[in-house]
Amino acid sequence: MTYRYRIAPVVLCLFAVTVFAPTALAQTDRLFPTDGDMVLGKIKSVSKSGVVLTVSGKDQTFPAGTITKILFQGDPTALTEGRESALDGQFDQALEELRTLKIDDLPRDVIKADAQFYIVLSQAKQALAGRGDLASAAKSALNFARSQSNSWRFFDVAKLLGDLAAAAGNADQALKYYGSLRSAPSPEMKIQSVYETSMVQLSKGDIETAQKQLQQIVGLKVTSAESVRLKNLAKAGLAVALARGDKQGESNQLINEMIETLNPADTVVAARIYNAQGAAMEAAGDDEGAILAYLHTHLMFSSDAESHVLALRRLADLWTRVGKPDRAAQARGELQQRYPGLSG
Amino acid sequence: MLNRIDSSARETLISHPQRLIEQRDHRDGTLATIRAALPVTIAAVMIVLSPNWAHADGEPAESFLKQLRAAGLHDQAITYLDRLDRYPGVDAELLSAVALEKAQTHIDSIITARTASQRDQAFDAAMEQLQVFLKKKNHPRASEAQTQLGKLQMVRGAQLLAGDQDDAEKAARQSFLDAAKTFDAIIETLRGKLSSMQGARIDPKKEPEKAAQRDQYRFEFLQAQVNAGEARLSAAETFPNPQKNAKNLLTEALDRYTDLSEKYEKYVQGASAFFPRGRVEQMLGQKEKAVESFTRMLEQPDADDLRPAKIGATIRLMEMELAKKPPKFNEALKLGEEFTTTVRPNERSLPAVQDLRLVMAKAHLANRDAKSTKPPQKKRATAEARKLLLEAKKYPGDHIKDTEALLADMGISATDEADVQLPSATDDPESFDAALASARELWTGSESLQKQVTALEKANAAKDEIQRVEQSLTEIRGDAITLLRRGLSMIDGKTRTETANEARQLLTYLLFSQDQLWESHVVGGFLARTSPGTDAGLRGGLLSLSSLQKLIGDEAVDRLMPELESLGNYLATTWPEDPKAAMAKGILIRLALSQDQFDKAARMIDEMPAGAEKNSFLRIQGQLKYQQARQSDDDQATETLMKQAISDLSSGFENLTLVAPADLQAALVLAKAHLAVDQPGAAVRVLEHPKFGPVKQSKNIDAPSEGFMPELYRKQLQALVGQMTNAEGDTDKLVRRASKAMDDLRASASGPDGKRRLLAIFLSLATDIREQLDNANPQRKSQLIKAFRVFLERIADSTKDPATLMWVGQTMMEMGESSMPPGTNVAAGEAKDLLTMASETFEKLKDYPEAPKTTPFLYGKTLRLSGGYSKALDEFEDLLRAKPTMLDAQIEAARTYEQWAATLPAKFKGNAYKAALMGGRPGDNKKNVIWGWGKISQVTQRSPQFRDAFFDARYHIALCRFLQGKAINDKRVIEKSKSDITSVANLFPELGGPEQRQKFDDLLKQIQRELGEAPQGLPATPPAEAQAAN
Repeated sequence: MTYRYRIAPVVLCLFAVTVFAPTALAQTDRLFPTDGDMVLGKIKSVSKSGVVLTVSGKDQTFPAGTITKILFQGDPTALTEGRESALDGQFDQALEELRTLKIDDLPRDVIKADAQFYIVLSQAKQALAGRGDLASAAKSALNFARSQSNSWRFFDVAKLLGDLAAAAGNADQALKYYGSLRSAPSPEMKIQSVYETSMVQLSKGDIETAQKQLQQIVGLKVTSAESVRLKNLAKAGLAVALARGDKQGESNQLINEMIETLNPADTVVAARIYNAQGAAMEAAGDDEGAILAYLHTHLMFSSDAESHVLALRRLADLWTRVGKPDRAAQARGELQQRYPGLSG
Repeated sequence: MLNRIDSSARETLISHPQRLIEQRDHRDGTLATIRAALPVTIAAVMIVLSPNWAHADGEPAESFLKQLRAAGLHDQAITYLDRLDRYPGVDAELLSAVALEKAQTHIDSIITARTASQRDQAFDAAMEQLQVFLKKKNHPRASEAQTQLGKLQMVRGAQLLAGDQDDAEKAARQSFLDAAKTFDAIIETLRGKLSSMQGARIDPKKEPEKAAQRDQYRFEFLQAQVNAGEARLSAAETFPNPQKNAKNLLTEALDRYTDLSEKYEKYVQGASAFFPRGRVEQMLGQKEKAVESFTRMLEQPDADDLRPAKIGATIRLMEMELAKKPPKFNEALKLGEEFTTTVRPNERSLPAVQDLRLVMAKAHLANRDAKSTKPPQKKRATAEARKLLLEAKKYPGDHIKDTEALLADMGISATDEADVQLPSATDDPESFDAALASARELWTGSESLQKQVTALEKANAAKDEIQRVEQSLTEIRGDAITLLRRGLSMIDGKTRTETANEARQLLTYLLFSQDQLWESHVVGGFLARTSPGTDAGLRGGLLSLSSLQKLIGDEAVDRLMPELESLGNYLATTWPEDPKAAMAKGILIRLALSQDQFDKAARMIDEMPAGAEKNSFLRIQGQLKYQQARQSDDDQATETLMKQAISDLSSGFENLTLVAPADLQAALVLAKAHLAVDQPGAAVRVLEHPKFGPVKQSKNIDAPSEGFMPELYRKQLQALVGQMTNAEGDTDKLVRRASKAMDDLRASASGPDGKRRLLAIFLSLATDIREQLDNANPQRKSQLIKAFRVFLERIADSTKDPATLMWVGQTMMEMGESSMPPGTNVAAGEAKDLLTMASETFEKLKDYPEAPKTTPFLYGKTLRLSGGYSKALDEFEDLLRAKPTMLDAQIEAARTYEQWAATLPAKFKGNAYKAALMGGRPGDNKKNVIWGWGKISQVTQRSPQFRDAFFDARYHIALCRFLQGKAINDKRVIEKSKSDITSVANLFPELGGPEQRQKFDDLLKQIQRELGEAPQGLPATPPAEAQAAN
């Protein structure tokens, strides 16, 4: 103990030197990978495939899809705060910050692209949550994809374009954008591409193709957290496809397996599972069971706007069907109030 | 032991329904409490029934059930429970308790039931499910379910009684009897368990869990006994004559209560049982036994949990005293006083307390009606009864009917709550205590009237109406003062010092309120000096001090100051740690500051203990020092004072929690002080400080004055631009912030005359900047100019607002002029750049229809400073044709001629100087539009407000004449220039002040030298008389 106390001031001095010296001497950008610790270095090059960072004189490549965020030297405060708000899901607050930026005045091209991305992301997420215009969000995203085609955020924006097209009911466009994710460098994005396209196909009624593709994902051996999550989503999708393909038994079995290992903290996956259960029960003619399934999403896992909107729509129809028009009206009212942009 | 009376932990074991049933015990056998609290009871049952399932993967059944119930989807919850076994991963214990969960759901739905029929169905369904569940006798939740069933049956009985069903009594009775059966079954089960445990001889140290289980069983056992008695009593009360029709039930209930109270007196349930035991005995006609039970109830220890039962017993005993013939009201009052004087805030609204008030009122009325009671006592008894009844009337409940009936008997309208007859000074107090009690009452009344006065004033009520209330207020206070004086004269050796001091304190306050300041000072001072260290002493002392402070306004300061200082110091030293005593010091400091005794004030502030009070004075002191610094002519003293101001103000803001408008002003002064010593960064930090910074806080707090906001933004702007001079400052960011401050500044000048005010603000801002530049050293000045220039260029590029452009031009011009070396007339280098930009701005601005009228004048001035004399004169001519009396423009035009002359070839100089003297540019009436210095001096001569302009014009007359004479080489003209000075010096020996006089003197010497005379200059400084004449 005595020894530790004695060396403490020296350690503090060293700490001060290591923290303050490099920042004063060289340009430093801070990259946060999806897995692992923050990496300090200088951006050497950026492409849609990813980012090359010079770290202690050596180049390191980070593929797109494996980076959570980059804090650039020279970031204005509004961008730093806007970025954090967006990554935290506070998109209205993010937009408030980001709109104060004069993009042209930003000191580096990578910073300009980053600021534009977060504006696009926030606008799209707001629109997807029913609190913004889908068309104008899609327009901004398309502008970004065109003007920043070498951004490491390119594929993220392609995914957003797919989401926006799907939400607007434009399946062909959605398939095109989701399909483009297959050329992304990270395996997770490739899986996402298959998952999203199959979900669009399912909504179009192409059950066979959807089932086949989803089955492919379910059969994958994956390790990363994001891949496991996508696999679970694919299982939920597959359960819907099976139910619609008159395979209710298999569908129920799959759903029950998922419920047994349900992680209530992952509300997006949980909502998809119960919506799948609702779809399966509807397909089996069990209206009461379907209502209870959608009520799980509505009452417990409503943070994912897309799933919640679906649950509310189905509840409105089902309650009408079982002779409870007042509850159906309540569901429609909530839909209009919470998701004005998506209630149509 | 968990449920002993002295165990605080036992509190947590008493569930809400049990509490409600306990409360019901203290009512008069009407079940009113249960009826009134029906939804609450049900809600409480819900809480008890909620299971505590551990979280596990799988179907989140428990959470989903909760959500369904919370959303009012009870039918869906029942459907869900029906198919619960189909979901994977549901906890086995929950699956085994589906019936109990269904019962819970039905109980829950009772609250939201819209019709009696729905409610009945829900009750039936809940009971049915509980019965189903109770078939699983060994289920871990069986005991819980059984208790809930009993309580539900009790609640159901109460609910049936409250309804209008034909056979309500019969149905309710059956429900109570069912409940009794349920509780009996619980008792038997628990008795068996406890017996087996008794045989097992559990050692709490070795087997704490088993010991805890035994305590829990014992608690449930005792509670079931209480409930079983209660169920029988309630069932008996459904008969019209319980003594006759329900003797068996009452006897059974009595057995339960007797057993409980005799065997378990050490437990809350046992001790409390004396009260229901007495009630049952009363119903059975066993009067003496009832009195004994109630008395034993009152003899129980002083524990919070026993208070409701004790209040109930008190009421019963009082009623018995009052039922005697003649009524024993004194005995009744004596019994009730213990509780009426100690009612706790959380008990005020209890039905038992209202019943107590009602029976107390009845006792007072019995006193009033007694033949032996004397008239003053009758009056007091009536007032007491009235007070109690009006208080009870505030709370809803079954007592209301009797309360209003008694009030009506007394002639008080049921709706007239304010009609409380207060004591009067004509009531001779019987004792000191009685006087104090009456005075307290009057004081409460006076506070209420004071609020009424304030409300009337706020509502702009009629003067006579306010006066009427004020008159009542004065009378009430006067009566209270009289009563207190009489009471204080009755103090004897038995009187408690605290009570006597309370009376003195109240008297001081009332005297102060009545503006009887001398008396207030004397009584309060006595209290302070005789009760050092006490709260009453301090309060008395502070009131005494405040009285003196008010007196100083009317009386001689010299006579009262020593007394005030003595008292203030006494308070501060006797209560050194008390912040209120610091207020005493505060009064002294304020007095010292108001008399400019800064050193004395500083000393007293230093002596104050650290804290908010001291800091508030440091803020005041800091501001005063800033003012002193501004007024000082001594540079060194100014700097010292500024630094002291910064130090005081900075310390004053330490740990500030609540910010008031005055603090915003203090913060602005601190920022100004920082600016004055060239610390713009510190100024910005102060202005934008998150806690007290006026930029942020002015959005939450009212500005201290009308002109505050513009001044704030002006200073913020200055500070931000000042920061731009820092090499490490982020110029872009600072420019953006400064632009924001400009926007705020513009916004602060809204309203009908906003435009005019905005121009005035901008003018001040330009002057501020000029002042800042003039006070800066050359290097700093250059930095500041650079920073301002960047900022102004950005502003000019981003706005078309004429007022802002005007300000930009004007500031550029001020900066250009400030950059010109002394003695030069034509700008060069950076000064010329600035002036060129200024003139370009003005030129652009001239095209705006709404451009300020002073634009041509400023444009002309920038042209002159840049050496564009001819064009400048064109501008002045145009301006003066429209407005010939614009003196500033006339002066500028004359100066233009004068400066132009200096630059012209020799042959043109003479005429140019002549034009400066005599004017030029004839108008349509052949008179010169530009007056020249001669006419300027004539016009300004008689007006004191233009005194400086007059002397300046006279100086320039002499100068131009001298230069003209030299230019044309005419000695007579030069001679004339000499007399120009001497003649004016004869008339005005002071010549406009030392500075101006010096200029005249220098010029005269120059002229004298030119004329070959000795350069004697002006005569010596004129005598005082001459100065006076000047």
